[in-house]
Amino acid sequence: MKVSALFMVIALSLTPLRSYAFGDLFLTSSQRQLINNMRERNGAEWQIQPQTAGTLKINGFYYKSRERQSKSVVWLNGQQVPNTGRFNGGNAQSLNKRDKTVGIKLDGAPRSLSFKAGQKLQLNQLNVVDAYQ
Amino acid sequence: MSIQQMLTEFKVRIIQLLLVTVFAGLILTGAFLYAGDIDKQKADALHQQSQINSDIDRLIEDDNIVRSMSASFLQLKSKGFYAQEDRLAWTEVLKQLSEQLKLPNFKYSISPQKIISNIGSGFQSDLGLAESLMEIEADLLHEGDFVSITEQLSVFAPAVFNVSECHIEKEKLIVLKQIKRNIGLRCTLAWYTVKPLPIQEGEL
Repeated sequence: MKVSALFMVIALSLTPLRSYAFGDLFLTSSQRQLINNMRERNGAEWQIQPQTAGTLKINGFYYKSRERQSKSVVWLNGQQVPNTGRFNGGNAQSLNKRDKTVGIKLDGAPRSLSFKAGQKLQLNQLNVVDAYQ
Repeated sequence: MSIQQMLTEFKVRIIQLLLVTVFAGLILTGAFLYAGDIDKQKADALHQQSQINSDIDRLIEDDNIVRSMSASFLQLKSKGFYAQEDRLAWTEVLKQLSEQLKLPNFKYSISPQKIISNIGSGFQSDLGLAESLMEIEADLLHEGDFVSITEQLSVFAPAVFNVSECHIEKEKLIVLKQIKRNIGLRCTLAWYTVKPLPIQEGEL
């Protein structure tokens, strides 16, 4: 049983890789990855800076599939994000056309998180609420 | 030489010729009959050869089937499918999974084992196939945990199972920085084992 437990630990250590394997379902793959990291550390990987408290709503995004991603437009909190991608509290980084998600890197965060259109992020608690909820 | 003597010699020659002809005819007839028999023997031999070839092909095919089935059987046996069910091992795996995944809540229950007699056409009813239903109720951090649970069960727990029914419910609020229930899971897993039949006398 000890051997199988060891193999199980090894198999479960591959869980982060599996987070990306099946794309977006209820959560996006990067949200699952963040949860996996948090689970390993028994707590959040990073803290939100106090000045960014509030809610970040991903209203939507638009891109033309034949054009480059720089032509895409992202709306956050009812405002169009400028071409630089910079908004108050972070950066809208990239659109994933396959998963239909937008990568957003919040100030202080080590990496970007992908969100589906309509999702809201409660910044102080790092909670995600879907569009229909 | 008189004419009488010449006629007599002619008759003798004619008789000799007739005898030679008859003899040659007999030899030819015998030769044809023998050749005919040889052809028949050759045809029989060829027929036998083709039968042996088809038998060899069939045996090779049977051998391949037996080899592939024995590999499948050994795999099933190694997974504990062909053995008494090992509930303790299942619960051990589930317990370890719950701890590794740090699930806020994880409950399971296993119903008594039932023998399935109505397996389907082409199968013996006394095969000894048994089914045990396992109910799982868990609070997951994300949907990937469900995949981890089924994968780990499939790899480490003995016997063969399938997911009979599942109910997955997403919480309204997804918490990313605390270990909290984000997805609710309620599943029924059906575990299958085949009880080895006792060997009857004279079966070996």
